Amino acid sequence: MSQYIQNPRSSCALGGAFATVSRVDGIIPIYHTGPGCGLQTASTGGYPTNVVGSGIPSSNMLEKQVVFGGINRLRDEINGALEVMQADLFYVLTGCAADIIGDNTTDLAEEYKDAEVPIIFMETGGFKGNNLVGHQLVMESFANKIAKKDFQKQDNLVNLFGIVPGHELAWAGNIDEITRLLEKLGLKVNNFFVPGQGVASIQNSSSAALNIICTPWLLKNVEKVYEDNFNIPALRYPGTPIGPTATGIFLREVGEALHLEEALVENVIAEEEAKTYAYLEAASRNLTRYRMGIVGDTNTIIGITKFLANDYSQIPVVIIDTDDVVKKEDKEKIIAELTDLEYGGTPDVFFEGDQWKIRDTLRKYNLTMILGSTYEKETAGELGIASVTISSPSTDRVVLNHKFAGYEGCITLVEDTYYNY
Amino acid sequence: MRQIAIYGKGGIGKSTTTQNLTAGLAEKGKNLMIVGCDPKADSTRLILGGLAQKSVLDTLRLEGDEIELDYIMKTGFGGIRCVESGGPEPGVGCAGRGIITSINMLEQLGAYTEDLDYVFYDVLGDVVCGGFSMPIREGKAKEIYIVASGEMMALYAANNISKGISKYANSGGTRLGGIICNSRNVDGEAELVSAFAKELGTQMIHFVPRNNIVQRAEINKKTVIEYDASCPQADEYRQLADKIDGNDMFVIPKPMSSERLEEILMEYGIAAF
Repeated sequence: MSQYIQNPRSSCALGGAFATVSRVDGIIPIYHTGPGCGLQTASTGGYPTNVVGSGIPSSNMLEKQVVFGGINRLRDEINGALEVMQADLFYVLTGCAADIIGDNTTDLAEEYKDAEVPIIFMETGGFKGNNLVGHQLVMESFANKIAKKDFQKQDNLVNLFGIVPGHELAWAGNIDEITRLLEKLGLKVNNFFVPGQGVASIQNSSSAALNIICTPWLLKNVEKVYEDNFNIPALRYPGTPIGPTATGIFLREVGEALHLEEALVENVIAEEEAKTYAYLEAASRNLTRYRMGIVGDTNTIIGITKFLANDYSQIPVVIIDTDDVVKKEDKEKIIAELTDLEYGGTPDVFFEGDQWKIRDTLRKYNLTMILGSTYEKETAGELGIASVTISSPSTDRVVLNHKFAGYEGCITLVEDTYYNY
Repeated sequence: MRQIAIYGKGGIGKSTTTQNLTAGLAEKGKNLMIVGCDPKADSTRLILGGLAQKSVLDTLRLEGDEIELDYIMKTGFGGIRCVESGGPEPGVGCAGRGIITSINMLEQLGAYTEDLDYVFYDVLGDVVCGGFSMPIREGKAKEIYIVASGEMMALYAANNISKGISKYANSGGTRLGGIICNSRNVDGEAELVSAFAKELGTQMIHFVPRNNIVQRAEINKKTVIEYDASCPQADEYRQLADKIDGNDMFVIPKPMSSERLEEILMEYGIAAF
């Protein structure tokens, strides 16, 4: 019998593909799926549904399309979208039903190869895996199909990958903050996803001098495509850098990889640190020490744990990674990041996506605060302890450009920590 | 109403046997319906005297689902009602789901009337996905007959189909009524198929000898009983009809391992070829 999990935190491959393409200015997804997929995936696409809306063109396959094939219905939908929707690029994303019956979108792609607006076709049937699978498939197609083949290297241009839209709660704010810091180093940044970047940033990504990939385990194929096709080396930073210690290391690594002037990098770090430590000092006058449980996606938990332990003298006791990390080597890498702290104790680390099991684990640690998703609010309420929503899914706070990353993000994280209920 | 599904390896003669058998039952005064569950839609050709019929799925595709039963159901030899499920064009869509769609549609249109004594489902040889097991799910066909011959691949297929039956037998009450041997004139065929059936826990319900009159009747778009009612082969089909009408041996089959199947084949000397 297959396993099931209570209160899953991830969406399907289609959901991940949707969250990725729909966050790029100018790209409109066209669904070739059953009628429920649009609403379902939009509601898990990184914003609360009422913020993002769900106006996705969709072929809405019914039984007739399943039995006889849905290509004609999809063609109608594409023609309609071309007529009434203004896009720089359309992405046709298939769902489970279309992929199971093997609807031949390859021939359709050929039909539309000279369309006035480019259309990319992708098989993203939900059964391929979770949203991280979908995100990586789309990122690979960005590299293979959108990035310019005739590119000219730009020494000060970098690509920023690894912070997954809709997966990290504060993904947009985090990308913004890291982009802000990289720009202070004199760099131009393609991050694809925050407003103002758009399709042009993906097209120009082949000209970059460096791929900065902020994740310890994702996007290995994407890294390889950029290396093989565009000769772009990669700098991996394991997670989202949060707080002065981590962000300082991150910026120095970027400086070294791009051979930037050391003085430039150090000046930026000194300026940011001065401001950040001033705020942290003010907060530390009222510091309450918590025994903390941290629950969330890999990037968020690594970033927050390091900040709390290394910069802010808090005590992470137990950490639960809710991502579906399968490979042993990836798990080991993540555990190493979470346990190599400037702090005497070592937190226990678990990989678990099931809400019931997560709650069961948290109960054992005599915690006084949980940093997690909205699901953990329930557990904290039951235990009578404080909680703050720092990971997805969140239904108790609207997150648009809120940030945890970098210098400014760690200040807002501290503010959040004392606004707990 | 007895609902019966006929399974067997592709090309073994399921449609021919089903139509000749139903002709025999019709002669006995039974009310029958045949539901062809093969995308090729050739399960009722001999009863109707040609491929005269619109399939359920073709109709659904061209006309939508606002149709009358008469549009897709034709009556042929002996008052036998005939329906063809049909399917999407080859290589497109999902034929398995098509079978499910069309059987659901037949139910909605009221094809299963109370005066029917028998409904026969003639199912595509290769039961490639869940759709083709639709006739034995959800309490539809409770009786199954497998058409086989003494050829090795036919018995392999029959054994495999038995695995599917035992799966549904435990949950849905479907039972195997027997193996119909459609002879290919293989050495020791009747003994081999009998032994095979016994091992499955069932019976060889009838041995239908090979006779070219079947092909002649087919060329004339007729069942043997209609084409030449007095020939010995017509009597064979009448006997098969009698046996099925009076059958009371319904079992959950015990599919055998490939090794055991090979042993039986060796025992009866077939594997030597």
